Amino acid sequence: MSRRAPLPSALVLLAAVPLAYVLATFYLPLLVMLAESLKPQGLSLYVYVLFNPDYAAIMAYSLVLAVVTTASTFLVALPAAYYLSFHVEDEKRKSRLLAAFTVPMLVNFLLKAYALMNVLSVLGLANTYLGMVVGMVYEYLPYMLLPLFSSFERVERRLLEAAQALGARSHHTFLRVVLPLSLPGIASGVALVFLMSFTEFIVPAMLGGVYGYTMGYLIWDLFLKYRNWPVGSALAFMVTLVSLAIVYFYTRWGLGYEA
Amino acid sequence: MSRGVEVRVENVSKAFRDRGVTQALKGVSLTVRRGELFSILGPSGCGKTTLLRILAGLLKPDEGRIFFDGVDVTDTPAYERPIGMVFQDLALFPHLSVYRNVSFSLEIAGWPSDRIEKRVREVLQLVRLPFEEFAHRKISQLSGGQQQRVAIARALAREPKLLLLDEPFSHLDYKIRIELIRELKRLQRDTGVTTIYVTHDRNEAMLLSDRLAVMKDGVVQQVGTPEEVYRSPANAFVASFMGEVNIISARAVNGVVKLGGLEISLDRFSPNLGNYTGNVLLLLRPESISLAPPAGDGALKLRVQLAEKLFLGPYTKLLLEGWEDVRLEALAPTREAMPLEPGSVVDVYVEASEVKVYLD
Amino acid sequence: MRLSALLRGYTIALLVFLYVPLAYVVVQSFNSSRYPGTWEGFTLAWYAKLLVDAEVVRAAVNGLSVALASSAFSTLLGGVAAYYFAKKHRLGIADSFFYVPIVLPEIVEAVSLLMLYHYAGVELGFWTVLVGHTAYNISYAYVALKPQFLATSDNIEAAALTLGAKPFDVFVRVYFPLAVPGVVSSLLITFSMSFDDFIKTAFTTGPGFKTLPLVIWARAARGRATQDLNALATVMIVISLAASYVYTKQVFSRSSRR
Repeated sequence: MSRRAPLPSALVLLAAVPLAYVLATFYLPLLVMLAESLKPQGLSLYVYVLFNPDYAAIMAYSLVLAVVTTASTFLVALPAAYYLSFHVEDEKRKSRLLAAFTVPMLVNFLLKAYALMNVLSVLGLANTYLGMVVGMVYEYLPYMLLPLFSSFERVERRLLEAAQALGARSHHTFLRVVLPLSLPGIASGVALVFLMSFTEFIVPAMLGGVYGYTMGYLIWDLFLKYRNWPVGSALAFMVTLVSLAIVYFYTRWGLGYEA
Repeated sequence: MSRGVEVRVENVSKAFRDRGVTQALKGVSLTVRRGELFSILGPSGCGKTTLLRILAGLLKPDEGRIFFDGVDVTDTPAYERPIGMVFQDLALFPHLSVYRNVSFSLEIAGWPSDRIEKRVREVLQLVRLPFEEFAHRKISQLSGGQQQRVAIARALAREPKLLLLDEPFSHLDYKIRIELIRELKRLQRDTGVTTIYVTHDRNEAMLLSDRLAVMKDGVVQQVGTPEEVYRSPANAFVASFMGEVNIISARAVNGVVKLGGLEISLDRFSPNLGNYTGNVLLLLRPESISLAPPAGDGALKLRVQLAEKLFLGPYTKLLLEGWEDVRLEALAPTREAMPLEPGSVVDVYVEASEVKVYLD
Repeated sequence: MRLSALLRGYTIALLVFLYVPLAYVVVQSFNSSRYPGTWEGFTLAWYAKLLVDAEVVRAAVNGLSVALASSAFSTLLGGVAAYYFAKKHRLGIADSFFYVPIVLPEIVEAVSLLMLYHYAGVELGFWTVLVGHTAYNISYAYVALKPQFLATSDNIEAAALTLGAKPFDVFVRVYFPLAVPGVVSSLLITFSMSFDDFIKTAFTTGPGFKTLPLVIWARAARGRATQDLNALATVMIVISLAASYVYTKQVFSRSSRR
């Protein structure tokens, strides 16, 4: 047999530890959650939840918010991503600007929401729907910007030159060449932001006031306030399925950016 | 004085269990002499890299033994063998400077620092990298050719008795490659270290080697000097791997083949086939077909039609059409080929001794 | 080009928009007025108040201990997994396995973990929080370290062996030094994730065990920003930004050296 430097069996055992750990503390709880949702009435609970007017209303509301957030974040991020990729020549400047957008990503949502709360109150936008959307865009901007930027970077500049040589003006080039080619990046940014904003709790809770009752808040309350674990689990499990589906299609596109 | 070991490979086999079983080496045996520059040549997948890694001690064979100067080293791990190895992707340590890369093996061996510095200077000079300029540079600051030299220097630092190289120059520009190959040959002559060089490029192997082995599908096809293997290939595979070759199938009846109206007795090519009946392959190198009649009368004369002339500089390739769809390529000095017109009928001459016969 | 100037202005404005709220909080934390607003004078009183606030100090210590322990464990475990799946056994499914915890919404992870703890009969507190944080931090560590290992040629280990290095030497002299930048990134990111974590902690913590984000939440729930809260937020913001800056600089310098 081939001889490798470290003792193979010891290494395999060592590598099994993180696997077992994640299995036990992440995947197992998901199964527990599924079981919890099926405990009282089996699958009929899901039917009940989906068709219950109150729950359905909140779900629809969250969906609309997610769509509004995703669309707004996209429109806000697009010009900046475009500028960074196509209008900044100096590599160093480009990466420094990109870093400037990326650094706030590690500051947690709660802090950023709180900071924004300060500013919004001064502007009189506290506890309004608009304020909440501004907060969402604020949080999700880097998550949309990075994939957009990456996919713009991947567009071969020679194609743009070729398009110009064929007589295309800059908006033509953008619509007919750049956008279609960056579709994978756009798709991943959109998928990511949509997924996150659909289940977002912190921003609506802190900035939304009465407008802030979303799926995230509902699940929070079901667990911590109403102690209705089965329904909470059912909602959470549905969210899980949706996330996994989005991730599946996201990786199918083949584009993932590295954190 | 040669400072290399004699390497003997005895009946080595190795299989890999990946998706199904791949037999990488099947009963390989060969001997590399002390101080020799020996190449292992073959297409990708022939097992040459596997054999090299077994010689290095990075892999253990399923069967067979390896001997260095008569001592069985099969079970000795790589770090206890007196070897130096240069890898295809160089594998230089990116976090260390040129100096520290080269001195790596010496530090591990516990040499005192002044002795280390002396040796690093020596060996960098050997590979023609000026110490002052290069010793403290980072690997990433070097060109491909310079990195190559560092890799060789690192492998030679502790004066190994066996130097192993795995297609080290394959990703370099042609010019740099030729330069490095020449330097390697010079280095090897100067140090006398036994060197085994693995490659798929026959030109490299022929340029470098004292002797070489041609491998295919885990089996050694032939071992010999470059000239021996080129001029007397053991089989059709070796013949075509070593260079361009014309292959003519023919049917022999009682030792006689018909070539374009000519009836030729096989014993003109090979003494043992006087009475053979069966299919044969006749192999003929392009440069063996000449336009001018040679002295003496051992030559065959063939009448062919010149289909096309391809100018290659000092030589011209001639595409000839013979009898019954037989197509031959000839390589002739341009001076001789110039007057010929495509479409004309030409007489060409072949020395019988240059034709190799193989039973099909 | 006019479009270029327009886009540049837009991008700068966007950057300003990103940092102004954070800057505002920082500035206001030094403002002597009781509530954030017009500037009334420079003061460090709010910070002084923080230092004597037992709840805040305890929460800070709690958060720090969880974050330090979690980043150490997860970097170690995630690093081993990354090493194994990058070098020894290339398995595409391993990537997905570790990727899912990063992608799944935090609230789902939080509630499912809560239920597991409940059914396991475990008392909520420091350990349950730590276990929960480490669960997703392993994934972050894995994602941070795997590309590093992938980029290191397999032959580097072989080269070291042929140069006389025993397996232990190989680890100490080659792998370890090479892994340092990745390990630092991993430690930084997992520390940040853990220290700042809110949702997971909120669900898996027990009475008496609070971390700073929980304190901020409880106090901000009154709906009004206050200066002492701003001081607290500033401390956290500064820590996060510092860690983030170091991390980002590392990541960008690594990719530019390619």
